[in-house]
Amino acid sequence: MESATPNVTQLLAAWSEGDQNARDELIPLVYAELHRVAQNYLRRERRGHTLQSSALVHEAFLRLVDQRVAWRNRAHFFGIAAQMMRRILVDYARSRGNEKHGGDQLHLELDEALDAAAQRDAELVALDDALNSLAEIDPQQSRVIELRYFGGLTIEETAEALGISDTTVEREWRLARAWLRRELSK
Amino acid sequence: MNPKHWQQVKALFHEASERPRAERTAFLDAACTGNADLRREVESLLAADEPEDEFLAQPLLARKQTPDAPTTNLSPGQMIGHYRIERRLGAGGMGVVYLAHDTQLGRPAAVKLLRSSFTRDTERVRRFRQEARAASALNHPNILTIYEVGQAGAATGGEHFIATEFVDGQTLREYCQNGQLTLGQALDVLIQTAAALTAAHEAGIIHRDIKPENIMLRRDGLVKVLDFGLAKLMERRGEGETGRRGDGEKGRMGNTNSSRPPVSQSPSLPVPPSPHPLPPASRPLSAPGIVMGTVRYMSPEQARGLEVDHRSDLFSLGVVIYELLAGRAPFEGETTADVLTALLNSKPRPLNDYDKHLPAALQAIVHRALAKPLAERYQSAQELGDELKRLKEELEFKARLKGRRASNDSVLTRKAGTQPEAAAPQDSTLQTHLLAEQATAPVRAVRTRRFQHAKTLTLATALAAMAIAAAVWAWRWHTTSSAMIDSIAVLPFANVGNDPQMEYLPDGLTEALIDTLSRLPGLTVRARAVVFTYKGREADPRQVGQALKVRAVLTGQVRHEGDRLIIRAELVNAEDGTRLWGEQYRPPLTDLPTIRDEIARAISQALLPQLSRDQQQQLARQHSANSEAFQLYLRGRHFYHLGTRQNEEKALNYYQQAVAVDPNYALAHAGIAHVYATFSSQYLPPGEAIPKARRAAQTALQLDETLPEGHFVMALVKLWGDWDWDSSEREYKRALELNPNLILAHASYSNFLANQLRFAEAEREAERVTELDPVSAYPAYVADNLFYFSRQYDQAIARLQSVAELNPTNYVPISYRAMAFSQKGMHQQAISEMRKALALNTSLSLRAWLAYVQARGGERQEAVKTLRDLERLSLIERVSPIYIARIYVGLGDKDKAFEWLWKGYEERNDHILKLNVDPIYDPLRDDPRYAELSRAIGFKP
Repeated sequence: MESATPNVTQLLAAWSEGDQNARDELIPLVYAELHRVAQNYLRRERRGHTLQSSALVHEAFLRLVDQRVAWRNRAHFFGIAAQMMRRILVDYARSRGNEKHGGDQLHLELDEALDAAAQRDAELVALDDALNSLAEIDPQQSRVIELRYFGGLTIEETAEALGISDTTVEREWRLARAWLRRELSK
Repeated sequence: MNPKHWQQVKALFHEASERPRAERTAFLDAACTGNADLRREVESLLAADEPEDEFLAQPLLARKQTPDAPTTNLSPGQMIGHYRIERRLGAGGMGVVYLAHDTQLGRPAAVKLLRSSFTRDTERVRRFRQEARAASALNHPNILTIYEVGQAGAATGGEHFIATEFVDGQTLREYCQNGQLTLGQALDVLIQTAAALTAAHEAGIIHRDIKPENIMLRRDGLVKVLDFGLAKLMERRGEGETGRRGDGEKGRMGNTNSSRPPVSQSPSLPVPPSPHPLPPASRPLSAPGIVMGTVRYMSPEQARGLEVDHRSDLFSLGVVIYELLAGRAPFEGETTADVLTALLNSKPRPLNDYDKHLPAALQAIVHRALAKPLAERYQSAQELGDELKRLKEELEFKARLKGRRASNDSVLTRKAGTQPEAAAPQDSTLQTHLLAEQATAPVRAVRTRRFQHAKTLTLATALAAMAIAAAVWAWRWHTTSSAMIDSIAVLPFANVGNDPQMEYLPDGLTEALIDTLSRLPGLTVRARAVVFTYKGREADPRQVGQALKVRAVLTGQVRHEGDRLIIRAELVNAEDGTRLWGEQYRPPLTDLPTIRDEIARAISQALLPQLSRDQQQQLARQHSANSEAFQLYLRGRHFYHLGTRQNEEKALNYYQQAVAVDPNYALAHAGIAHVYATFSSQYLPPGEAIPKARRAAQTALQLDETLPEGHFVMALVKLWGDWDWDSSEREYKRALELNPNLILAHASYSNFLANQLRFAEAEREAERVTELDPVSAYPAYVADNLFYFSRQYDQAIARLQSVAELNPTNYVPISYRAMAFSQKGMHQQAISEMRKALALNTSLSLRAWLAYVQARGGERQEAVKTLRDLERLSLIERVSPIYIARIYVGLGDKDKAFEWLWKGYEERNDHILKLNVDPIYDPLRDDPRYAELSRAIGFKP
């Protein structure tokens, strides 16, 4: 099926060829997809269907998988998912902190959809800031945290996504956690 | 920190962290000599290094929301309600299970404490208890009896628990890990499980989580299915919990004994152990932040997060069957994602790949249980259970025969029923018998006499024949009778048997008939929206005739019988209720060689020699001769009419499949063009959508230049894509000439005319729309919007009010009413109406409209907030620039308004075609930039 974001496939292909720009273009598309899925879920919710963040990500995922891309490496997809989740969760955590959104449909939708995850807004925002600082010192470590924490990747998958060894992931993970823990307790 | 410094820090940290704490100081002393900064940095990081700590350890979305209450560990002797805890049996995803003693009734019980993360939401608990109570009413030997669903110390908000019958046995999973099931035993377990499901489904309870962990084998061989309805509780709660379900669920309810229970030895089935231990219990599968419970046993609809019915359980049982027989799951993968991909897209390997000796009938059973489309699956647990029983009896019978005839029992019996080539003559008979059994399809009804000689009809042929017969009939009446039949209503065909999977077909047939008949000159055919108010209702054709002002009514029904459809149609004179024509067709669902011409000729000769062959062919040509393509098209139509973007995308998908099957299917190409044209500007940038719409419209017209729908979509492409008003108008006119009943074309043409301020003509088109469809909202507001556009706000408000009252769920008339209020300066009404519209549909377009009326009504801050949202959103998602322009217009920011209007112009956004007609742009009209834009769009000055 021609999706609403038909160039997702090409972008994914380009990305798996190593084109980093493709990744940057891709994320907004996936984000849009998620947003749309969230709206769809909200509509279903009104009709008594379930709404949960897993279902949300899940459906976005299925839509992408349905593109029938020859997935050379599934870690690529998870890598995107991780960035996407970080961005979404943090954005909404931030926006909830900043403004009241009583009648604001957009926020309500995503708030509801991401309720479970977004409840610790302040922590999340702080973590995001800290991750950004970490990225300035050590981009790879920041990425490891993103993949593992926001993307739910295992050590092995993270290694695959970043093209580094399992041991390296474990070491980076350990140091990055220590660094963030220190940063956040300042 | 400079990079070099950081590299040093890193290296030292890694080295130090791998040493025992006691040695670290000495190590750092040696490594950091003279560099106090470096040392401080490393030490502070080491101080923050707590590898075992929870910090970030759980992925965000899978994280438990709060730790479970510590009381989930109960010690022997403790009381939960009137249950005295004896010992812990194990822990499952939902909570810890204890063996307990029921002090009131003096019997053993299993007590499961539910994790607090599942029970924090009181509404959910209420629903869960309701469901559990319903399940506890199930009284069936194969269903674990629920004694009580309660809360310990409810007053103090204590734990929720479930007390059940205590079963001394093992789960199917454990049993298979510890040993093996023979084929006979496996069938026995499955038959009992199906019996449990039958009872539950009859009581309206769906299990939702059938898997080997939930099927318990008692020591005496009795099967108990656990946890009916409990999955419901899991579904809506903490994703992380679901993820860990199945992991280490050693002690499910009532399970204590690790010795193998002797599964009921079917007396006459001396089958030696047939060898398939199950793979280890499902591990939590890794996935991006979501872990999906036991994906492996989910049905496709469940995995997609859709509502499930009892057939989902049958799919899950199919997975269990497959796994028992093949020794591995039908849909496998290393991660949840891989499993899901397999589940949704691939067919499992045939069972015989794993074991050549398995009976073919078993393969058939598994195939059907694992069918992805619901309609192809077993429709009831009873049906599945019966087939399993039948197979088991067959095998037992065969085994007995073999046992009598052969000396080497075990070898022969193992092969029983599986290897006809090795079988003696008796076996052939048996095999035949078995096959005959397998083939027990619904009994075929005697064919109607009329078609005894006729070859089978394809669906498309039948439709064409029906349309021709009906049309021809109407035509003859038209030409020969004084009481002219010049109008007809095709009522929605009834879906006999109410198979929901078949719903698209009767509806689609009805629509296709309406399409086809609409093309007859001089015949008014009531629009889809009108006749569909009769859907599912028994109606007297005479009353229908009066209500819809037609002279004839066509009714019909569709029934699914085996591999055929039975379609009946009847044309009734609405004046006196007499039957004018009737026919029954029995096309097979599958595609068959078309004999359309033969049938068409037969009917036309019988009914009407007057209609020329050209005219007949013209009618028949609209639909594909390919039954599959035709059905796909009908599905597409079905979804298109359901509205919403998601359904429209489904429609597009079906249309595309239809043209893949039959590339010459003009109407399906037109359907594709229509969806893309609709998506343009709204959901997709025009530059992306219009070329696709254009290609599809061109193809449709190349295939059939006389296709009205083709010209209609071409009109849209010319207008929305090229802003070529003249060509567009020609296409509208051609479409309406070919089919004067094409209601969408009238409505759209009316809009076109209004946009050019040609109100009188626009009104005529709108009237025609209302004439064709006097009841539904769409034509009504096409007509009444004209009042708004011609600045007659009071009339617009009054007229739209009545439309809105008749169609309380349609947001369009409400939103236009709000706009009329706004133009009149009645801002509070405008805002409140627009909020009503937004409550019905949360589209971005309506949000922009709300901001517009708010900006004008003194709620500027709200408007600005929406504006910021949309601007931000536009960076990552399609937002029509015109939406943003509208808000700036409302705020009175002309510069910004023009800036965004020009953006709309640049992407050739069709919303901008309302520039001249929409009153909201009135404040801009004196500006020189307005004239420039208007000229650029192609408006004549």
